[in-house]
Amino acid sequence: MEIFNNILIYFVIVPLLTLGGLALCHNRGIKAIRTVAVVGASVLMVLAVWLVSIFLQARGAGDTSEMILRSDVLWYAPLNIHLALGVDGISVVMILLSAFIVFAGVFASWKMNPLPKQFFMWFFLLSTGVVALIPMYLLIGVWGSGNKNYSAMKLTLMLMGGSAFLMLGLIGIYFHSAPEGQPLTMNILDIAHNDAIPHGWQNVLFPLTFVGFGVLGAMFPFHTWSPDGHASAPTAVSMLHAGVLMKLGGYGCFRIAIYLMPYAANELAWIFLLLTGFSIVYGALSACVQTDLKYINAYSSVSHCGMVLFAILMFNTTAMTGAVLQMLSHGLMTALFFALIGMIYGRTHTRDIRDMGGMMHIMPYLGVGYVIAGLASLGLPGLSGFAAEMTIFFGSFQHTDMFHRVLTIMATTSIVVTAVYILRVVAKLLFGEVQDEHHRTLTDASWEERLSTATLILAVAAIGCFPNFFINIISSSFEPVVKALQAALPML
Amino acid sequence: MTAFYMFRIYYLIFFWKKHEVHDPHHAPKDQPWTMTVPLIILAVISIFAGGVPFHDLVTWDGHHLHTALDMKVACTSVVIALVGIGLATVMYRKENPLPDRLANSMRGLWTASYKRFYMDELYQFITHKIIFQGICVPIAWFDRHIIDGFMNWMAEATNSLSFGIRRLQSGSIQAYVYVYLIGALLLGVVTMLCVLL
Amino acid sequence: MNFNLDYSQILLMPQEIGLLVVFVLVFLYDTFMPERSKRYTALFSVIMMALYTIYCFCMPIVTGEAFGGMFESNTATWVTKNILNVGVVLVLLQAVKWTDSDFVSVRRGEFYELTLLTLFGMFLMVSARHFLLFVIGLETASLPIAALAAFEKRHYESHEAAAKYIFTAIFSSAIFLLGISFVYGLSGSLYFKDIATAIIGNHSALLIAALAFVIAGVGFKLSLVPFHLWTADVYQGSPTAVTSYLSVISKGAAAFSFLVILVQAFGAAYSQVWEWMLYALIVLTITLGNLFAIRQRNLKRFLAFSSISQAGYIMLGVIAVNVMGMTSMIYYVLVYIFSNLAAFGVIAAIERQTGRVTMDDYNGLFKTNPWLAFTMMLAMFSLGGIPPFAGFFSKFFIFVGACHQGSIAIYVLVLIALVNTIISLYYYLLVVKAMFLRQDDCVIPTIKSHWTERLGLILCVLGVIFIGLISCIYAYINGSVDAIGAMFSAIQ
Repeated sequence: MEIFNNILIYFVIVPLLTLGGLALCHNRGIKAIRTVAVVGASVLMVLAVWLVSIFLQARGAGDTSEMILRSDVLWYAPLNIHLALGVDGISVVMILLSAFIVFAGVFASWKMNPLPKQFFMWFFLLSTGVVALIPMYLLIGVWGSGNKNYSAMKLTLMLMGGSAFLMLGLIGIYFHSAPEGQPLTMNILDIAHNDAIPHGWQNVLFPLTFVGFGVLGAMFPFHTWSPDGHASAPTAVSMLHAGVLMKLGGYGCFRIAIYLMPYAANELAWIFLLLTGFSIVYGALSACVQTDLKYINAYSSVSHCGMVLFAILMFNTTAMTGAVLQMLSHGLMTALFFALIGMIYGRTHTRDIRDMGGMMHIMPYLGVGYVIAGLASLGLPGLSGFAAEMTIFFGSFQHTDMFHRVLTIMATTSIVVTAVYILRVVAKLLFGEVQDEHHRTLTDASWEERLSTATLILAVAAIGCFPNFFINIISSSFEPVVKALQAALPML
Repeated sequence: MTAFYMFRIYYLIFFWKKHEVHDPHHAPKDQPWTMTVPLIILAVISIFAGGVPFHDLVTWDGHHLHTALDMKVACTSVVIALVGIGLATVMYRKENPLPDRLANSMRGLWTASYKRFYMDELYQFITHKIIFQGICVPIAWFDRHIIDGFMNWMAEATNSLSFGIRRLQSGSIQAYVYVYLIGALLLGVVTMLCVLL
Repeated sequence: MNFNLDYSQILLMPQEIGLLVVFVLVFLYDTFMPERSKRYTALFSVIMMALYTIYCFCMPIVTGEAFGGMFESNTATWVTKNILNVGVVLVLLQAVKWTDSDFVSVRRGEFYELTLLTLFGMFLMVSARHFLLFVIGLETASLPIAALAAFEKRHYESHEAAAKYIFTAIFSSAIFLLGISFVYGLSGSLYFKDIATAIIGNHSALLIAALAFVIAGVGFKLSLVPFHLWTADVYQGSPTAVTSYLSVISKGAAAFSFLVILVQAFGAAYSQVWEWMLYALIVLTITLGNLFAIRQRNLKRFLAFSSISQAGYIMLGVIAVNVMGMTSMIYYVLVYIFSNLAAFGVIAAIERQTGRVTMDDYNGLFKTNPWLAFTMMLAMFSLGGIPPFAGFFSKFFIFVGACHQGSIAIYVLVLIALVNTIISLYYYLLVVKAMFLRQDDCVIPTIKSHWTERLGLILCVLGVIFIGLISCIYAYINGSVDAIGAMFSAIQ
């Protein structure tokens, strides 16, 4: 099988193997379960780093094709559907991101109870990403907290709703993927090359696809699964879901909705710019008055993911680079937040900031971690958030017309609001009065928790300090899209 | 201004006599080296910082940020800074009643300034009363009750619709046959109307 | 026309002959074997049926027309019958233990004989190209089912189910025959092909009435809304083995013959008319089936409504009127057989030992019977159409097939169907929720299922997981439908 020569297939196979290994473990053999999980996560991490180096070598050797490492297996011949693998710069960094988060997630759910084996099995199934909905439902429903039945159902149904729109959009694209008389195809690159979707259809299919992916990316007004879902999900699941899966929404919008339908993208961008611009400020403002730590972070995610979509819709290389940086940055930072919140919750058994205070003295390690995550979130230079948001707003401001500029300025105010809610939490949670005397006896992070958070903090700092490294990887992916958009412009 | 108040602090700390020392532990003493070394490094860096070509380092898409040193602006600011330093030297070099007198003569301004122009109170008011209470709370309410409420309402509506139509499934064969017949006839009649008219 | 019967024509129906041989063997075994061997009747019939099914897959496909064109065997009917055979093997396998139970074992031979007879009727329906032969097949397939529904003599509901089935079935047959007599009066023939040529240009009200009555008659078998009202009561009251047989095999055969009738008899002249009729029925069927399913607590009744809405999806393959639609329809039936039989297999196994069938009884099933719960979960996800299970692929293909027709109205229909998948996912998740998330004091105790039940379930699970991933199954069906693709050429 030629396809097994491709490194990409192993990003599916390794989690599945880990799954198999976990299935063999005894239910109570917690050590064996942990070992298998750690090995699986580490192998993924090594693979991801290896993939990055392969990618850099390929680019360094002058390979400028849109996707590298392509392999193609004919799957459903009657419909000309292929099982096609391939990575562009964006997916390379996304894979790296998910490997980091899976790694950190395994350590963050070290003491998972009950049924650790099943938990890790579902977790690795989730990390294959192919089959996201089912594991999510069970992970939240069984291991979650709070109003978990409701949240799990809501999340699953809303995401299913998104996929319903998406599926119709994809079917529509499929039937217009090639000029009359040529075989239809589902291959993104071929469709983009054919550029055969009639404009009338684009105007119908673009909103369907964009909203379909937008639901996944928590775009206003389809974001309401996110606060409830993330608040109820167990730590590692929140990390992986907010960190990676939500980003697939942004990637899909970019790779499928905009790339394949540039005409409609130009035509209809303003609607979605308004929505995403609104969702940036809206999410930030909503976060200001939440009292549950996870809700604060979930609304903050709405704001930050809105920024990703907002930047993608700006249609220039700078803003799009910023969008991908923001995906990375937000993925890591939000995973860090959720990990820390999970650890704090595991000790205090409350996530309500009104019931907590003075944590900095009680658990300095977690406290410092929280401050770092917060600073990254509000865009402190040197951490990832700054690099991403600066690039986004510079890129957005390159548009000279009134509409884009006003929107950009509005979106920029969210930085201030972000600072307000982050500092509010930090002040209350870490430096305020100790609210509960029992909290004084709590311990600081254990080694596995330290490892988990340190991995993420390092990654956050790495993006903040060396954004150019990542920009080099991702920037090559934008040219074809921007070109397609510009080619579609004169027709307006 | 910056020059003025920096030097005011400088003179107050190092040249005015000590007022009183409450606590021997708080007596000023030379810092340990852990504090001194970073301080020196910072001092050195801040002297030379102006010379570092930041515009070469700050880039986002490969283009350099173009910053030019405008001589007019630079000269004016240096002159104003010198004036500020001079003023501070006059007022605070020695312990003297000059600042007090000035404070008395401009009581209002001084109080405002002492209270930092009521900025904290203003910020507090704006953030808590206006932004939190006036904007965030309504938005959060809107999100929970209108947007989310709409999603929940759709689920509720589906559920109650399902409850509402349960009578159709009555369990009696006669009703089943009636519905069947009416369904078949309606199907035929409606289609006839559509096709023939 | 040559009225001297050429007996070699009978060789054109090898599948029917084979089925009759199996039937006769089972009958002889049951009647003449000594009493102590009779408990192997069940196993004997399963094995014979399985051997016959394998034989049908291996032997070369026989094509041709028999009896002056009344009966046709072609690649598509061949494949459809094979698929029905597979389903029947699974049903019989799952019923083995049930027919050995105390009150049923006296009559177990009857169960297998009647089942095989109805299957024979369905084969005739599938191959019929003349309305009289079709009616013979329809009645052969319907009447024994009433006897089967009343199989549990001790249960009041079983009698009720049988009575309701027989009365409504007779009524529906009457309407259907009325429709046929109209057609005969207008066209002077009952051959599908002759009707098609005779009614060209005829737009009389009588013909539309005939069409409506024919649709109602077959719609009854398919339980399309509003001809579905018998479904819930009959499914709930009948023994589970009979219910599963009714829900998959009977539906599959009816769907295929429905397509043949509409396309061959009414296609050329009337496709516009019946497509709109079907359009309305599909919308009603999917939506009402789903809405009713939401509130059901009895799992058999629940699956009855779920199967109503699934029938609506199957009809999407009919309304497409093209090769892709027909392929997808047969494929959908295949996948549906596996998913639904997995669900019914679990229900049967639990009902046989504990007699409990409501959703609340399943609370906490995961703790005591993890494998049964797991199987049920897979079945639910497959029915709900979640990737990567077979149900996703079948739904996807049926949507693609429908959209291939290309009109805007079809896209709207697919959108309605897609929105309905969200509702259906909700109620399928209710079952998963009961099994995995709920706790209960009186959980169903750990059940030791018989090996035949287990084998049946394992086969279903394998089918649910792999049918979608292995593309050659779809290609196989597609190849056989392609061979008769000329059937659609008359329709614009």
